Amino acid sequence: MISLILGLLLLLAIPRAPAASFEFWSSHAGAMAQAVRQLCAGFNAAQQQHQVRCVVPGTYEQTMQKTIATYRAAQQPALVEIYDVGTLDMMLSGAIVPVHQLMADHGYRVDWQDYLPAIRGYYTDAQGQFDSLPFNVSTAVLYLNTDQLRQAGISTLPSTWRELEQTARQLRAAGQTCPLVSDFNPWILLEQVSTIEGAPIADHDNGHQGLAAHYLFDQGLHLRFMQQLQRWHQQHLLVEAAATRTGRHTLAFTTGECAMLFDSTSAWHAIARSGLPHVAVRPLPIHADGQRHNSVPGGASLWVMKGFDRQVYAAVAAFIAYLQQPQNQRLLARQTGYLPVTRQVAAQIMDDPDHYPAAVVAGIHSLDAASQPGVGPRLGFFPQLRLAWTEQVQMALSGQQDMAQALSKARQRGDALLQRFRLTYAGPDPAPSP
Amino acid sequence: MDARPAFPTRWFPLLLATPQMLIVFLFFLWPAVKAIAWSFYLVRPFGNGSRFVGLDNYLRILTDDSFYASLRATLVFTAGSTLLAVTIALALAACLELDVRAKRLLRSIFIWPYAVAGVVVGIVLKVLINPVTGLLAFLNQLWPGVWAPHLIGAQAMLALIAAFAWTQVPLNFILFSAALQRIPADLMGAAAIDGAGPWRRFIDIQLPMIAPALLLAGVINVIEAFTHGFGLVDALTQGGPGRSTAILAYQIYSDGFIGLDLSGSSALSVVLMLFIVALTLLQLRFFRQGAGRW
Repeated sequence: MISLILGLLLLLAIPRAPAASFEFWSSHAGAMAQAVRQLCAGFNAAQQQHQVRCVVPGTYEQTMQKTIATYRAAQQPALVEIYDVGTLDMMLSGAIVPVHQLMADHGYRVDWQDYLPAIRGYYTDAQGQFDSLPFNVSTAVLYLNTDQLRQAGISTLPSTWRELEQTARQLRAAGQTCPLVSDFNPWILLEQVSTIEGAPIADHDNGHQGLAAHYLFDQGLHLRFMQQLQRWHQQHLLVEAAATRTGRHTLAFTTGECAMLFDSTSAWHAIARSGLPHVAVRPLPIHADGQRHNSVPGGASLWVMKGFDRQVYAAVAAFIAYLQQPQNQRLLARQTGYLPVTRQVAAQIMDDPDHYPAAVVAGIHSLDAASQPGVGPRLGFFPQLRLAWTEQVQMALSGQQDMAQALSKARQRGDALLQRFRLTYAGPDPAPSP
Repeated sequence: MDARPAFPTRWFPLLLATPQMLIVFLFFLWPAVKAIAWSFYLVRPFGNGSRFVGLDNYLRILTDDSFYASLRATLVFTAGSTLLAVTIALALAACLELDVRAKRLLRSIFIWPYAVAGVVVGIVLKVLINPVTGLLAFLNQLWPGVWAPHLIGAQAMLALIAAFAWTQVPLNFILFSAALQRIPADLMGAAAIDGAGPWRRFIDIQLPMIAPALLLAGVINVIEAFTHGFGLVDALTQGGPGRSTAILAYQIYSDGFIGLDLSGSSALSVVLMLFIVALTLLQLRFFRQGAGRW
């Protein structure tokens, strides 16, 4: 009897196959976390050879910090999800295996040309090759509570900024205290709005042509747009999220306090679950005289880290191929409001829009339906530029300075950041780390 | 008489202290040394290279308006919260020295807030200062827009000071209570017989006799505000609006961990470290002088 138990224990202790397993870090809670768990379990069940261990180290920012810390300590995960603004840092990190190279090395023929042009434009390097795998792509859209619009006598949904202003005025006249809510997030108001209108926020092709870029957003379209936003804010057509009951923009919309909302397509799940009966989703408006360009992909992409053996990379490549499968892209879109990444799947969704979240359909319209390309900003120390922009805009909204001054100060700070980033990464052979 | 404890060899006590010293070195000294080193470089986050720039990082900080904004915020925050925390704790402790019922119960109630983390206080306060549903929302019904801590820096700072003072009161209270109880009852009794009322006794006897405790509490509060205000700021204001509450400790976090600017963040932390060293030296001086007098 004892020998039998010992024998069984021995059997359990011996690994079954020379299976490679690896860790995959992603940074989600809620519906997206559930979808990721489902994809991981699906991959592990689909074959015997490889195993993925899916870990949630924290928010996007924390995942980036931990990736850096673990890489420096040689404890990094093989595959990690990094948010859009971390893209340039990852590309220059010297710590990654470009995903196109990984897939080619392991014999996968990926049709990279099938990726949506806006996504290709954002995630490929100077040679047009993908360094990372676009995974959970989102973009900004306009959510509307059509019940409240109807009560105010509005039947057509706004598609230009002027129409949006008109709609907000009518809502206000009909007694709506919060026609439109925003958390004044630069991701939407600076990056998305400018890209959709085809106005770069920095020269050198929004930073894609090297590190010598300078910011341009203190003039032209963005300045006019922000001045208009400030007027809306003064006239209580646009309410700041912090001035609502819940203090959060998505909640202010889902609780019915506000009738219209700028938010990511990935907010769809929270909005759908809130039980609001009639919600419409539209691409962000444009100016009437402008031409619509593709919006910027937000969200995150998957990076393969250096430092593993071939067996592990084979497993990573198999997992990446699994994630790219059309049914898995569709699963992600249906459950979370994140967008598909290939043209093939986008077309499948547009053929059958009723079975997908309205936010996904509007998001694909915004990211891809335009004939004009648009290139989103990819610039150094970008999280700090976002903070600088937010700080200065807050000071303008509170009346301490005008919007032109605010954007000019943010630009100066941004240019200093770009210069320091350039110096940090300049030089062919920098001194070793202290 | 030999006051030294008896150890078999000279190295034995050192051996006993090694684990503690190792921890101090690993978690306090090594990071500090690393931060000082990084502050002279431009460091790439992934460590694949760096560039020596001498004092450039410091020069940049010292010529940057936003550094002075942070410094101003830090000083206002520190002075405000220390003053408030010391005053409230002193008032509470002095009142409890009068003949109050349920003295013991009150004493333990006043100590409770010490167990609450800064982040929790921040989240609770965020609800309390909400301009639509919070405690002061009625002001907006009287004068629309008058209470807007998300837009008006001074209001955000007031909320922050109140919250931080709230977390500091308990420690101060313990210090002051203990100091007040050490005052001989004879002294207070004699003063009472001479006709001194509670207020007179407080000003002429209690206050001078607990002066060392006041100083100690003040110094501890200042250092706490410099270094541990971070959690509260992160939960309550994220340094906003318009950098009005971006105290140095928060700025270091935000530059280094969100912005990935390791060198700028290191230089800033060295500056903060110098401030704290200076404060500590000042405190030591005061106490040494004080030891003779009190």
